[in-house]
Amino acid sequence: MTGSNLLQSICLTDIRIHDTRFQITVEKKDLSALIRSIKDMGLICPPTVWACDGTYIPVSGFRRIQAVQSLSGTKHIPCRVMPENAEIECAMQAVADNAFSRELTAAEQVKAVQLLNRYMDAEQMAGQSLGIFNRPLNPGYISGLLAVSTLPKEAVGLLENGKLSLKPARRMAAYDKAFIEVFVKLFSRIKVSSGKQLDIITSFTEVCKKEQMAPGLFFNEHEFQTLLNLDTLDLGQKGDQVRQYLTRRRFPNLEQARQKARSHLGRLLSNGPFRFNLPENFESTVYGVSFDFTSLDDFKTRVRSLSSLADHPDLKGMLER
Amino acid sequence: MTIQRVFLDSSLNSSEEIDEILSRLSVEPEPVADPCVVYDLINQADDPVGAAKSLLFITRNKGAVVRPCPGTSHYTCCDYTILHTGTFCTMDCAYCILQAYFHPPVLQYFAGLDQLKQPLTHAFSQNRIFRIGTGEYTDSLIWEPITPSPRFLVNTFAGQSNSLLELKTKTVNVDSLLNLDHNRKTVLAWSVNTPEVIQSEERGTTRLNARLKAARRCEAKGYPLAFHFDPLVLYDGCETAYAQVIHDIFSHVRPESIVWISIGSFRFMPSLKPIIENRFASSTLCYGEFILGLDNKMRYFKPLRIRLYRKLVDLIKEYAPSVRVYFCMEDPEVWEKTMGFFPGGKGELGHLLDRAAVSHCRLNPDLL
Repeated sequence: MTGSNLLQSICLTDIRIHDTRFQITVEKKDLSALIRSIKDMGLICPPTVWACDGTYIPVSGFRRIQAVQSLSGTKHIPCRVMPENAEIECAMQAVADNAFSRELTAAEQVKAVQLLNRYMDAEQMAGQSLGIFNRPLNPGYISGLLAVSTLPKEAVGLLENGKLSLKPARRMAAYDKAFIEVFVKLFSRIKVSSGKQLDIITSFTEVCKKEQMAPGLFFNEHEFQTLLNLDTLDLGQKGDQVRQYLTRRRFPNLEQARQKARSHLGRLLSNGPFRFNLPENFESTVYGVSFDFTSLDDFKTRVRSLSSLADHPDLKGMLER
Repeated sequence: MTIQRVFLDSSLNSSEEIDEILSRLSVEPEPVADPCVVYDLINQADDPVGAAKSLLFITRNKGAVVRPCPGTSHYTCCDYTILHTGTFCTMDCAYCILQAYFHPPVLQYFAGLDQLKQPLTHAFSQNRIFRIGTGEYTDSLIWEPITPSPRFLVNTFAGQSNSLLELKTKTVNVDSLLNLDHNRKTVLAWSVNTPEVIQSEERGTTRLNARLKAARRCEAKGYPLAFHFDPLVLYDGCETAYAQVIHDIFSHVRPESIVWISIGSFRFMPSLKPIIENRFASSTLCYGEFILGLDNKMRYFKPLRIRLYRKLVDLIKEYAPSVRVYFCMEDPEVWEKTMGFFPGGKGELGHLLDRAAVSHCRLNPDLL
C-alpha cells in the first residue's frame, strides 16, 4: 500500500491494544485455537500497526496480538509498521485486510464505512471501494451504511448477532429516536428474517401513526408484552407471533375476513382432496377449485364428491361477502 | 400557492392570451428554449412537488388535446373525454395522484386557444354525445383568475348541442363565468369532502361551505352542477361526516340542478405512499386498511368501501331520487351491493351519464 510498511519486531508493551480505532471486526473471546496455532506453527501472518507518538496502534490482527500477548515469556511480536503520516492508509488497510480474506458481515461493513468516513465521504469511498472492500459499492449504499452507523450501539450489536439485517437497519435509521429505541428492544427479543423485520417495522410504525400512539406506549401494551414473554416460544416463533399480531392490528377487517375464510376452508377441505383458490384480499369475486385424479373412475368419484360440496354450509359461508 | 416564477416557451408567438396571463400574474416571464431548464429546476428542489406549484410554464400542448380517459383495468370507467388544457395544480392535496403521475410535476398552461378549436370542432361534428372535462390532469378553475381559457371554453361549448363541458374544481373561481351565455352546456362541478379531510389533507383549497356557496351562485345563473365525492377517506366518524356533507349540498342547491354525483374512495399507486409520507408527515391517509387492487392500485378493503358507499348512496337517494349517482372505477360487486344494478355492458355507464347530460344540458336527444 505504501511501500514503507516495514516488518519490525515490536515490544508488546509498546502496542496500545485497547486502542480499537481501526478495528472493524467483532471481538471474539475464545483465542485458544489461535494460540495453539501460533505455538505450533508460529505467527504466519504478522499484524499491522501504526507508529504513532512513540507507540503502536493496532491496524489489523487484533486477535493475533492478543494471542501472542497471552503466550508466557513472549515480549516481542513481528509487525508490519505503517509510518506516522499514513493514518488514512491504515484505515483503508484495516478494512481491506478483512475484506480480501472473507466477505464482511453487515456489522463490519457499517464499522468500516464509519472508520473510513473520518477521512473520506461516500463518493470518495465508492470510488475506491474495489480496492478497499474487494467489490464495487455505490455511494447510495455507502450512505445507507453511514446512516446505520448513527443508530445506537445496541442496534449495531443486533447486526452483529444476526437479529437485525442491513436493510431493516437502514429503514430504522430514518425514524426518530423513540421508534429506534423500541425497535432495538423488540429485535433483541425476537429473531426473524430480513423480510419479516421490514414487515414488523412497517406495521408497527403504521399502527402507531394510525392510532396516534407513542411507540413506547404501544410496545408496552399488555398484549404485546405477553407475546414477547411467552416462555414456550423460541425467538423465531415469537417473531412470527409478533408479526401476525401487528398484521391483525394493522388490518383488522381484512384479517377477520381471512380468519373466517380459513375456518370455512378447513372444514371444506376435510370433505375431499380439493384445492381452493380464494381471491386475493377478497377484491375479486373469482374463486377456484381444482383436484387431481388418476383414472376415469377416480375422476367420476371426485366430481361427485365436488358436486356434493355445493350444498355444504361452509361453501355458502365462504362465498358470503 | 402564489406563482413566483413564470417560464415562457420561447417558441410561442406573442398573443392577447399570453399578454393577459402575464399582466394578471405581474411576474416577469423568463423565456426558455428548452423545457429541460424548467424540469431540471424542479428536479433539483428538495421537494420537487412543492416547488413545482409556484413555477408556471406557459407552453404549447405537443400531444393530443382531446383524448379518452385512460380509466383503469378491471374497474368500470365512465368513458369520459379529457380536454388537455394544462397540467398539475397550485393547490396541495395529500392524496393527489398528480404528485406521482408526472415526472417531474410541472404546472403547465397550454397556450393557444386556437389549438383547442380544431379538435373541439371535430368533436362537435360527430353523431354522439361527449362528456368532456379539463379536470383530469389539473384543477379546471385554478386557471380562471389568470387565463382566458375557462371563459373561452364555456363560450365555445355554448354554441353546439352534442357535448357537455365539465369544469371540475376545489376553488370558488367562478366570477368571470357567471354572466356568460353558457347555454347550459357547461357543468360546474365541485370535488367535495368532509371539513375534517379538507382541513387535514387539502392545503390551499377552499372550505366546503365556500364551495357550496359558489355552487349556489352558479345555480342562480342557470349552470348545471355536479359533485364528486372523490376521494372518500375512511376514518372514525366518517359516515356521519359524509352524511352531513350531503345534507349541506342539498341545503345549498336544488336536486334538479345536479347532473350527477360521483363517488370514489381513495385509491393510489403504491409509489404515491412515500410521497405522502414525506410531504404530509402528520397525515394518516396512507394508514387505512388498503389492499392491492386488481389494477395494482391500493384500495380500501372492499367491505369497508361498500359499507360507506351504501350509506352515501341511500342518503343521496333520499334527498334526490332522480339524480344520477355513479361510481368512479368500481367493480360489479360494488355496484350490485350498493346500487342494486351494474351497468356492465360496453359503454353502459357512459350511456347512463349521457342521458343525464342530455336531459340537464339540452343536448341533442337523437344522439342517445
